[in-house]
Amino acid sequence: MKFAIVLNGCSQTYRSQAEEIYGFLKTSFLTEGEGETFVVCENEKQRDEIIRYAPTALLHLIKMDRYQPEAILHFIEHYEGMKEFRYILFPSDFAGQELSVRLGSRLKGSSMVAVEEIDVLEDGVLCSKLVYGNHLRGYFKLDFPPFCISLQKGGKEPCPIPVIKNRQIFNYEQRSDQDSFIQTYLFKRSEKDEGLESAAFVIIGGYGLGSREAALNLQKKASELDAGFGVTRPVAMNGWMNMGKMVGVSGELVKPKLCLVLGASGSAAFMAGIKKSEFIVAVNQDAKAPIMNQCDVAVIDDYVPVMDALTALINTWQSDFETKRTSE
Amino acid sequence: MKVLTCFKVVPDLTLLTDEDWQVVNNQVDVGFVKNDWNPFDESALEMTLKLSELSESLSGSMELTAVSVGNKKIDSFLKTLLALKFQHAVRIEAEQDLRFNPHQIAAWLAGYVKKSHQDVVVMGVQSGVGDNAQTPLLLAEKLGWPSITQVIGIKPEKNGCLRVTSQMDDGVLEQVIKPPVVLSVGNAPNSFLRVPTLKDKLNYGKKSVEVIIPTDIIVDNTTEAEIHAPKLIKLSAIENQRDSVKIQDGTPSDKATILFNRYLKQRLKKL
Ligand SMILES: Cc1cc2nc3c(=O)[nH]c(=O)nc-3n(C[C@H](O)[C@H](O)[C@H](O)COP(=O)(O)OP(=O)(O)OC[C@H]3O[C@@H](n4cnc5c(N)ncnc54)[C@H](O)[C@@H]3O)c2cc1C
Repeated sequence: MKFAIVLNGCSQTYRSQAEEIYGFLKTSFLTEGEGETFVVCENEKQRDEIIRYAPTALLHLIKMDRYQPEAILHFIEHYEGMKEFRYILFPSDFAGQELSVRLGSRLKGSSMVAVEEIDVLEDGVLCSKLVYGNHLRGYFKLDFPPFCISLQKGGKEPCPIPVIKNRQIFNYEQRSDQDSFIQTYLFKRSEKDEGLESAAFVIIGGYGLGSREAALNLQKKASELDAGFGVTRPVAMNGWMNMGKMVGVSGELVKPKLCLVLGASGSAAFMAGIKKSEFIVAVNQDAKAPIMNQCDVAVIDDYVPVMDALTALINTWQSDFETKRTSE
Repeated sequence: MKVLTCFKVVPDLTLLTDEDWQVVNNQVDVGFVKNDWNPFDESALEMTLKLSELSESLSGSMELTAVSVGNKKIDSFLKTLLALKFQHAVRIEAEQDLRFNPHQIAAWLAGYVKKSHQDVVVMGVQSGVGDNAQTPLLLAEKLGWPSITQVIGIKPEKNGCLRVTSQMDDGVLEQVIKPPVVLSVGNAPNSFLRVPTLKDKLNYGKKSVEVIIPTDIIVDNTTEAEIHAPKLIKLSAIENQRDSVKIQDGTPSDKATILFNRYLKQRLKKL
């Protein structure tokens, strides 16, 4: 069954997009040999990386001035062989979402966003995804090919892409006037806080922190304890911490060995961001908060004195540990 | 410039307890919890108001319309928007199950946009309970307009243009664009919807909500919308519980000591 993959090579996240898709392919009924990858890229510098990490041997490289959905859609929609693909897969990022739905509409197919798994049906495809604010899983039938599907963030484990021999590469240049509505275009790259996603110990503050000052305080403590620091949506929405620190379905997904959550109720949208943690400790003064049954240890109290006492204990233990080590 | 802001009123699902998540006939009873603005749409509404205020000094006033799809239970939300000085508050009358049918919503919205000659549409990227995240994108396609997603800021510019800031995965994009355009709003900080003053409530809240029936705005592709919507086969509950140990006795310092000695020390050692 022929399928296509569409990736955004203009983004620094290209490799993780590719590995996400590859991880999905490995667990699905689709076989790599039947896939073709379409990648948009801005300049020659990225070419080698794009080719190396493309998830299929057959690769279409589309050179454009910049990431611009209107121009990309125009190219893909009019690509001659598009009708041959029954499935078109997109990563979970914003580009994958916007391109999948709009392309589905243009090709008169069906689309779905944040898909967990797919299964073949005789006359369509069965997709599962989380609905009701991550409380339920829905199973849906899509009827019209091509099935334009963007993946669920953090759904399947990403899979490293092996060295693929016998690459077949087709090059295109797309200079289009699709984006003439844009008068000026200024992209400011921001460094991603890689620390949070890869940290072994993460501390997260919720709306129970109560103020920007408390959030900054806790961030400082986390850094002293060598822990990554994250927040829930209301903390970021209030501007107490920048959006890059938000954990949950619409933010970062963390999977530390130890996750300490203070003053968060444990909404499903937030829990989705920490559920892969090995050990979760929650401190909340409300014994009935949902998080209290979704963690490994629940401390029922005001987080401030608990955290103060805990920090003192950890610091003492750490300095003992250090002294022991140096005297050995 | 005519700006249409689309919003949805959603049940606050965080209020449901574990026992409330019973699926019967592919439905969950959420009728007893309070309704609220969908958070992304709330940001869209507030950003529209800010945009309009800023444009007054630059390029004259904007004509603001707020629209939602539903029954008369949502009229109180529309009235609040009138009190916040949206000139028009429109409800597209609908009673049917639209949870997983963004195609239908987009078809009606497209019909309304065309009928009322809007220049800009602003709405949230996603909304509960369907979490489809498709409506603004399908709307852009039905209108044949460009679209910018994950918008976090909108400012007026000269000559009827807008300066739109959006969040991309590896940075922030700022574009000056010429409408028409569909803007879908993402995680925009400090965009909680303001509360109307009592005076404005009295002065403007009395204006009535305009109710439209879908047949008035139907465009030819509505049946296509019905067909292309995904078909819900099954809803099932997700198990998220862990066997949690509760530490609840003693002073905060006692609790911290138990937590540290029993559960954290060994783990921290291994980090
Ligand atoms: C489409 C969508 C996507 C979303 N995505 C995300 C997301 O990615 N991430 C996210 O976090 N949210 C997300 N949300 C929002 C989510 O639904 C919740 O509203 C949010 O997670 C609640 O954050 P919170 O637990 O910090 O705040 P609250 O629910 O207000 O909880 C605060 C908690 O702090 C406790 N508390 C207060 N004071 C103290 C104290 N001194 N000591 C100890 N405990 C105290 C209270 O008992 C309460 O349980 C999303 C919502 C939607 C609709």
